[in-house]
Amino acid sequence: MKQSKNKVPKQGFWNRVKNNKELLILSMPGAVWFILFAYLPLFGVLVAFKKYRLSGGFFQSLIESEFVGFDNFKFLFSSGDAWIILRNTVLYNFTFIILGVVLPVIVALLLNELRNKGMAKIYQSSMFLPYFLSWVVVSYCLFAFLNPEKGYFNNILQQFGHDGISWYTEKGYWPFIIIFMSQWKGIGYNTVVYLASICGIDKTYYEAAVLDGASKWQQIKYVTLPLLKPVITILLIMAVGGIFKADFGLFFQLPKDSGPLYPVTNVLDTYIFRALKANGEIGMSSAAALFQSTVGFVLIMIANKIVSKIDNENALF
Amino acid sequence: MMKLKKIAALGLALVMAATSLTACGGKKGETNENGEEIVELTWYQVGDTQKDAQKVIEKVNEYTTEKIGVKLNIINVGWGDYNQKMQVVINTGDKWDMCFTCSWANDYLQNANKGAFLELDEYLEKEGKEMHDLVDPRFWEAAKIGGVTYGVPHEKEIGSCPMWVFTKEYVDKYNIPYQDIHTLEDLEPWLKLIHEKEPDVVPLYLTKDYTAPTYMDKIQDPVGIEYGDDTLTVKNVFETERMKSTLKTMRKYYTEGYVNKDAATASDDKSIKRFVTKGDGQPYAELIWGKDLGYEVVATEIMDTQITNASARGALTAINKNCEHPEKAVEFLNLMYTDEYLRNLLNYGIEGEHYEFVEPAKEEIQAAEGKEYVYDKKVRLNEETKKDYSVPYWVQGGMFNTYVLENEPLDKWAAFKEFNDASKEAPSFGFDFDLEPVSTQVAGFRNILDEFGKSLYTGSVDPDEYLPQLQKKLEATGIQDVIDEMQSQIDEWKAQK
Repeated sequence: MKQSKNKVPKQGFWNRVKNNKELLILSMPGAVWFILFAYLPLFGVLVAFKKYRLSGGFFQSLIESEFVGFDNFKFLFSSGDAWIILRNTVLYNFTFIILGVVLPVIVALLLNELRNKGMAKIYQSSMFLPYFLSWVVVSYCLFAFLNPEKGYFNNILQQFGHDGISWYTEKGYWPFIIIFMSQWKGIGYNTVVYLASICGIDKTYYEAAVLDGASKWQQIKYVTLPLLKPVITILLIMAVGGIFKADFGLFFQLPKDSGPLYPVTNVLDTYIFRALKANGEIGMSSAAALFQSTVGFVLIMIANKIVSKIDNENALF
Repeated sequence: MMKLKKIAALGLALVMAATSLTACGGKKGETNENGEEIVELTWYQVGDTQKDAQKVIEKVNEYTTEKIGVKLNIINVGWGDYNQKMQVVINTGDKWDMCFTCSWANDYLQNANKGAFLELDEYLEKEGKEMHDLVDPRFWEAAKIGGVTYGVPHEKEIGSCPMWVFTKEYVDKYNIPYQDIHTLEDLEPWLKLIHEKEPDVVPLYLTKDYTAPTYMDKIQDPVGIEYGDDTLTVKNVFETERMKSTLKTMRKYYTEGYVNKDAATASDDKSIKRFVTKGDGQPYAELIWGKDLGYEVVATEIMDTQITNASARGALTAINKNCEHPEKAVEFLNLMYTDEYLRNLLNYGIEGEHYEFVEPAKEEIQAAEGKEYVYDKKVRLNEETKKDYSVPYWVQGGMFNTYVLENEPLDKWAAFKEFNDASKEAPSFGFDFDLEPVSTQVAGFRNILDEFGKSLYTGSVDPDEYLPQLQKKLEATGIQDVIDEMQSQIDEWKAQK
């Protein structure tokens, strides 16, 4: 603890600890949680490189299992569909990331402008509601619309003299349906995040802008959006890390696991689920998860680097 | 000060990690009247937890501690979660002594190959001798993997017996000679008739679980050996002539409007009126289906019953390789197989609370006289309390030493025995495919089969267009490697036989 206090720029470790002790204590529970549940289990990634066979408890089995290098990763790319699956995963997620910023920001701006704050609360809450529904429930709601024999849509089509559409075998409609449903479900949550940051903007900026004769549109363009930029960038970088992970419920439950739709609904997570439900190799499932996380990690680093090149202020780290 | 806290936190973390690793081992020290130490066995079973389970287990424990010094701790895992939960329990070396396993959940073959299950042969000569002698040897043969037994089979129907299930109302109304209907093609005139005469009724009602009649033992779906093929030639089911023509017929039925439009994604909706559907049969299955649907049904076999590894491994109980008291576990299973009171207690609950005994009719007793597995009493479930303890009857053990229900024939198990004796062994019966060398290819199959299987089987898509696509994808994933590997394994197996 005896560190010289004269070297101001290079503080000793213990001094820094001492100076920030309140913050450190605050972060303690979170840190302990991370060490216990995120870092300690990390050595388990070993499973991904082993042919896991039982020979006692988990640790003993893990150590004694045969090392097989990258064999467990092969199945990810062995199918003829590997390309389609990767394309689906990345393209859908890319769309979700873009729309997941644009739509909620627009809605948040609109909600913020509402005079009647009571109504704004009602809109906000009703948009938030679908976020709490599980995809299984949502899939049945959607089925009420798309049921080929008794659904609303086909009934309407038939009333106008058209043939009903066999929704669960026609893949052409599904990219739209999936994107629409995912935004419908997620928009409320994302809106709240942006709305909260808008509310946090100092009111004096707007007063100044009004004095200078700025219109509503100019206030949004020159005050709100620039001040929202840090939040948007952070959420964007985080989202990029998940680009190889797909929402399983969305892609599995919603299309009711219908085969003819696979070319547009099969993503990495559903592929892995289907591949491994048959053979139960935990080595292979760990390999798949490790692959997704590694790619995600690399992408986050790249995205952050790009952001920091453009505007160092907004980078995550 | 901070250092101390850090060390404390780290220490805490280590302690927590350590306790989670050592949470094994049963209670010790208790003994029963005979002075035996009481051993607690943890038993994982598939099925929902029952409200009165604790009451029944207490009763069971009372009996078993006295008899053999064993106490049970039964853990039920719901139908949908069982597979996953057991993978975690088994792979992480959690504490368990016995578990339910079979060919379709908590896979018997895989777990045995992984080294999770105890080799039982030695025990079956001693502690488990009685039950070994009691159960049909073909079940024991099926339970063997590479000559070693890893599970105790639950005696029930041994073969798979797909059936057409007709709604009796329409059979009677149109005088349909259902007993002469067997193949898919036989159905056609009657589907047409119902389609014309009964617009409200779905002539052939199918759901997403439907598989078109398959005349093959799919050892590793879609690869297997056709029934009756004694040359043991490994084939892809979608390349057999039989399956190709079946799929064409299904497509015809679908386009004619005989099949419900949502067949490929539907789950069974009992409110839908149907003329015929497909079911997995067993003796007196009509009674079960009829009870389930709320109206009478009649059934006929689609093909001869075939015994395959999958069908004969419909339900087993395995013991943990690291079980501390394996001889006790075997002793317990043996007791359950030989002790009517214990078996029925586990099966139906407590007498006087969940059920009561009734006398069978005199004529029935006379008719069943001299047959095997016939008991002098039947079970009437208590209408009010039966929902508090209702376990699937085949999950815990064999069914031949359970009493039959009031509405069931007294000779039910004798009929099962006859059915089993009459079942034919498929040529591939007894062969186990080691998928290790081709596991990468096999992992790819499931996606392709899920993509095309349901829609082809139900006729929802045109086989002329989709079957070639399916073949192409299977080839790209390496089906030929799997066929070759299986062929070489099966040739070896044949040579040893």
